[in-house]
Amino acid sequence: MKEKGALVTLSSLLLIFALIGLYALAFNQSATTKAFVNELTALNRLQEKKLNNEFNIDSLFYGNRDLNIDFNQGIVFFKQFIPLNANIPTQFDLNALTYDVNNFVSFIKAKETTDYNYSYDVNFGLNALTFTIKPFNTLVRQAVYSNLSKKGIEVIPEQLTFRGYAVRLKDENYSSIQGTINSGAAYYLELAFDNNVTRYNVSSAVLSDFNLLTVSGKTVNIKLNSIKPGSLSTNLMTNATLSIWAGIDYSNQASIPWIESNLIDFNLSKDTSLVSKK
Amino acid sequence: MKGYIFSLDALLAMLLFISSAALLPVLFSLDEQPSTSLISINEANDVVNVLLKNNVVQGMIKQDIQKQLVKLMPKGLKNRVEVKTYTKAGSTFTLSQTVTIGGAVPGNTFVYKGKKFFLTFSGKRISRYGEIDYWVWMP
Repeated sequence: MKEKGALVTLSSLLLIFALIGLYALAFNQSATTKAFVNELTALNRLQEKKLNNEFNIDSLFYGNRDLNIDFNQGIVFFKQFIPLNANIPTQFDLNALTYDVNNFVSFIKAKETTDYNYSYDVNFGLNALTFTIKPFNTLVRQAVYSNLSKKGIEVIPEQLTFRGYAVRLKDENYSSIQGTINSGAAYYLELAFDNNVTRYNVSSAVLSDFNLLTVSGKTVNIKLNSIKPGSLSTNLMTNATLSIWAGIDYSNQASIPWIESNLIDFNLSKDTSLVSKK
Repeated sequence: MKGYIFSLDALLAMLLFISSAALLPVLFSLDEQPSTSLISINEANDVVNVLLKNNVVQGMIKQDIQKQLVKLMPKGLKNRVEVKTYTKAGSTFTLSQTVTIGGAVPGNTFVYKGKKFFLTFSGKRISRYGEIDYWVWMP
């Protein structure tokens, strides 16, 4: 009888130890899970900040960039007017854009929460706006030069999976500037295709609409540039409507292309090392 | 001796009861807390993103923001939102307008705090700099 009682007591004791062990395990697990949630929360917060900054930077560029992007039956068009025409009401102001971007970054730095250690390393040069055509990873770069004497679109495909380029270089309304060009000056449109550079004078129609340049079996980049000699003043150019179009024909692909712009292309980065103080 | 054993059993029973009572809430909360917290965070971020994308926040009209919050925020979530806009004069940002929605943030539960920035434009130029702070928690 005594042994039975001792056994019951011993069993109860063991059960309590087991429960205490389980409790310790659950407590430890709870702490681990909490740390995991905190980590995920911090990463989530970082990602949200990146998206938010991209959204704001993009809204700054949206009003200022003069590069139109269009999709038509599997062809992605990048269209640029040279110089700015009536469709672009206000002239691209590089200084104003740089000023606004720097102010925005100052604002972020001033108002950023101190809970987390973010830092924004800004080196904003604005010499190129870069887009990527997804899912094909084709890089499209819009060159912007501070004196507006030269503009361009450059297409750098990662793979030659597309049909070809639909290129258009056109003097939409050359007559409006024809009489004002100083003697000896000329406005050129330049096409560099497969390392062969051809220069066109805009006094004649340079290429018929949407010439399809078929891609051969090697990497083929195209570069479309406008080159304006210094003797042609900006004022005289504001009524002109010249355009360059770079179309990349993905109509042979099952995937529908889309465009991504990347924050890092704007040379705006931030320290991703996160220090949680809470 | 018998009395001693009886007392020990009673003590053990009490310990058994206490440890069970302490363990149960922890066990119940294990599965629930992380997933609900993360879902709450994502939902709150999504709602604020929608408000920014649709220029609701930028309008700085309390009723509009409140209406959209009620419409979009999951019913089980409590929230507080503070929106501030600033103008820039020289090198300083001066507070221009504040909109506050929601009650005090509790201190005894998991609260997610988010912050986003936004801009308002006059033509193509920045007219105001804005920040939106938001807190969400399970009641």
